[in-house]
Amino acid sequence: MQSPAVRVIGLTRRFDSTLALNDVSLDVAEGRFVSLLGPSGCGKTTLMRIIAGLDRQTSGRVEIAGVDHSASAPNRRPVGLVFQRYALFPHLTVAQNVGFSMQIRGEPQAAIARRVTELLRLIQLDDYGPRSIDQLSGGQAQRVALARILASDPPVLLLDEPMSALDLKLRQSMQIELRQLQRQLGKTFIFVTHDQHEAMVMSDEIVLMNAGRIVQRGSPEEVYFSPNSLFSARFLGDANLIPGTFQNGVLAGDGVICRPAAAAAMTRAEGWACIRPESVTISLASGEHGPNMVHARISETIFQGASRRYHALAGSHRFLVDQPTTQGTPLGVGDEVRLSWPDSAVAMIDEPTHG
Amino acid sequence: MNHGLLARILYATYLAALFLFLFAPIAVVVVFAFDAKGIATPPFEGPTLRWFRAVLADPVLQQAAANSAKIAVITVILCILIGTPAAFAIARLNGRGVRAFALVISMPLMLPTLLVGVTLMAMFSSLGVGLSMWTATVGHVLVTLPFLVFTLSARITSIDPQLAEAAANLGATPAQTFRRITLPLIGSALACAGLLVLGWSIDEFTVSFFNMGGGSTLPMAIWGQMRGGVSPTVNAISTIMLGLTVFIILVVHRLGNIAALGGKTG
Ligand SMILES: Nc1ncnc2c1ncn2[C@@H]1O[C@H](COP(=O)(O)OP(=O)(O)OP(=O)(O)O)[C@@H](O)[C@H]1O
Ligand SMILES: [Mg+2]
Repeated sequence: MQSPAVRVIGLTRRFDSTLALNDVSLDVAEGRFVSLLGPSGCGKTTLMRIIAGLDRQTSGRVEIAGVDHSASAPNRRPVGLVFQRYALFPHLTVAQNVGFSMQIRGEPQAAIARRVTELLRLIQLDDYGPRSIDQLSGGQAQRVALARILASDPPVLLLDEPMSALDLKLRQSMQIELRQLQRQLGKTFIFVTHDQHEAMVMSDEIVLMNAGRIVQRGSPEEVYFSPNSLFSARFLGDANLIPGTFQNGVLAGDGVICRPAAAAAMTRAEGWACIRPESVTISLASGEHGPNMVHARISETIFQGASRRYHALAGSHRFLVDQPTTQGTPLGVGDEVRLSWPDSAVAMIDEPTHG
Repeated sequence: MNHGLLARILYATYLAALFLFLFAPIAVVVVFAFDAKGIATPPFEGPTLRWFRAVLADPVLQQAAANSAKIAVITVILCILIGTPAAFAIARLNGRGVRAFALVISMPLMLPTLLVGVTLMAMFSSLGVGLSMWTATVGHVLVTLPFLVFTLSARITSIDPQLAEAAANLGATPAQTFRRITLPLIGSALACAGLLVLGWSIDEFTVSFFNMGGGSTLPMAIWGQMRGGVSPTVNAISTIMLGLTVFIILVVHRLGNIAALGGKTG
């Protein structure tokens, strides 16, 4: 089997009293677009820096394309890093910034000029070559930083929140462009973000981090619909989290019975069920009762454009329900309804319900 | 309206008085350097370059000027070689040791040069080192080092450390990073600091006086000539040195502007 593009094993990084990375192990297969997602301070930048060799791990190993790079100098590692704050060279022009790595490798001037022109066209800054870098907007600086890395042509690109300076519109178009670029180049991208939407839009795979550890990894769908912890469930968007006691493969909360599609392995007699608001179907009340079904009364309706959000009270639970705006007739506050969801929408979370 | 006018008149008067106070002595020296009469008293009796010619032809002054130039150049070189690593250490490392180091380096800046000159001389004599141009140079380096180190470390602090990391990530070795990124970014600050050291060294009297041994530097030679009263040749040398200093200041000023431009994006 081919060795992974990047593999880190048991990586730990301690800064005085903080444990920025705590025994992190991760394989990233070649050609994948992997997002590192997590709250501020969870160690994303630290992991990137250690892979690039700009920071040294307290313990653990870093392999790139099957070669042990745990102790090698940053200029010998075949990875390109786009910095959280760009780090463009202020005394060089845009073109010189982009051509820097080729200049270092001693490539002929004509080849450098040709490649720089190509890359400037790719990032749609064709005429910006002679400009000084403090004449660039945040979004342009962003793209120059990307072009500068592409010129050095590393097999692995590490992108540390490269879109944080962009406004929403530009950010969304850059997300798609970056994704297309990655497919086209066939390179491995490790993309850092703390925006869960961005991670879901762009990635083949999401690696969710918290407090220096990887808490979950998988495809965006897996991580979104089958969170393995309360943290995952809450971090990736809104969730109905139902605490209850676990018996005979079902979770019984206060008046709600949740039945997962596959028997979950639970370590204790209590736990949580997670159901995303989109998975819940809402219909006018009827007498039926059973698992994955509950009687509720609507307490709030919020128009959100593509979908309509309902708050529905069922006993002590307040359910969040999203229904496509174009389906069914809108319901109103006070309507008695039935909420139901398929077995496949139930994710069991093996965490204590209190404390 | 009237109030504003009054304020402006007062302000202009103040500025005029200040400039007069600052520059009148210099103007007197420069004017009488070109005076044919030979004594620095009015009236001015026609322009001449005689005193300048006398200065340039005087073997004692020639020797002193050569000494000063050599000492100044060697001082600048030694300061850069010793001071640059120190500036990097102060700017990039932190901790107790580095702060103590910075304090020690800054000491000569705070001590009176008289004290530095005398103690240095005492040290050389107790070590049995004969006084010469070289011992004076050591004194100059000691006194000018803080200028260079702190000018430079201020600049280095303003440079984003991620620039060097980005260069390494793009394949540059530490040597290439220094040459292509760090040096261009600190270059103007280094030139400024070097010129300040050069100017200071050429003007320096006290430390040289105690540590030169037999020879003399230009300021020492001027002082020697002054013992016979203010001669027109002294005016001429002073004018030459003034011209040199103004030139250095102008260059530093220009470089300073460039450095400020480069620093904006840090
Ligand atoms: N040089 C350092 N010295 C001391 N502590 C550090 C250093 N660098 C990072 N840390 C600490 O390590 C932890 C992880 O930091 P890191 O920069 O990796 O977070 P991050 O996930 O990138 O956060 P963000 O989303 O805000 O960029 C934080 O608690 C931070 O304070
Ligand atoms: Mg970060």
